[in-house]
Amino acid sequence: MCTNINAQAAIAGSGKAGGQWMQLDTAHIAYDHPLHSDYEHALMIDFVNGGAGFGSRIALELSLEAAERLAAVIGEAVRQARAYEDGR
Amino acid sequence: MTATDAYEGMIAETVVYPGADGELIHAYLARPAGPGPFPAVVLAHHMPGWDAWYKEATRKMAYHGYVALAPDLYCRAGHGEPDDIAALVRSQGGVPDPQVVGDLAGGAAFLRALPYTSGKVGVMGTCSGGRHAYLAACLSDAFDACADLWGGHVVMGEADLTPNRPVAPIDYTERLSCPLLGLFGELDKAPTPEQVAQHEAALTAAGKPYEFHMYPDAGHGFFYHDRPAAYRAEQAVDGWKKLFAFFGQHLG
Repeated sequence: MCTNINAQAAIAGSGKAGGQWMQLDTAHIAYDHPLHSDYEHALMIDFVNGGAGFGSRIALELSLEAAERLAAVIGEAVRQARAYEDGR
Repeated sequence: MTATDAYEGMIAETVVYPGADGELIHAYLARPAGPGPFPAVVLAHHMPGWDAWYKEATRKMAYHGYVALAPDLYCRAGHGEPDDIAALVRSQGGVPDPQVVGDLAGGAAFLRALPYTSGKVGVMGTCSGGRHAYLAACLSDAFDACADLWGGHVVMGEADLTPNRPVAPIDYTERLSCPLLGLFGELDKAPTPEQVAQHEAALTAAGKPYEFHMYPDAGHGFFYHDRPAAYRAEQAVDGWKKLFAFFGQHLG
């Protein structure tokens, strides 16, 4: 699209939107023009259940700075979680 | 401008026409009421999709005397809320350039076949739509004028090429088939002022008719009144004037 910054990851888990839980199988990540937020570019993550389509996706649009903070916190939490699991 | 005591009307509706490879796609058509003949414009929507701003822009063109057609360039991805369809297309890396060119050129053929058009057809677009408009003006002879409004990735390095966008549009400059208007913002990152200058140099070298305007204190999307951070009223007012003057000169 307008930046070519685009990736996806297979995931396993579930998410809640509109009062309903659903299984999720893919996260689509892009840094591009957002569809809602008032930024020129945003870090966007769409959590998707492939069978349900994008109409029921859980969508995030974050400022780059917010995405950096979130990625750092998730990275640290994942590091601790891995150490916890490996240490058991 | 219509006199206050003159009749004025507009028809705006969804239509279907054959796009690339003859495949039927949806489009939003807005036209002044009356027998014409009216000049026509195809609008290539931006990356966020076939959304409310584009339909407003289509009606604005009709208010100014054009039969305006905005195809749903994401039509083949399915239907739903425009932002959901745009997110789906984004996850697929966008739409293929040749398909978009076929959809836009098909739009021109559809417009010329209507009994109330003059035969003159322009193409315009913003953001990815500006890039697509330029591509269509280079890869088809369907258009009499082209307006590229801050189209990014006209200049592309090897690393930017993708299966959907296999050739940098600047490489087609020799084939540009009509006059070109470009409106850009100095603060834009795609295209940067340096990339706009590179494009301008290619147009000059190829002997193509063009006019570029670079606005200070404007970035990407400075026409978008629904995006307060991007919108620049003064630059947008002047940009619309330049757009209508350009189309008036080449399509009138």
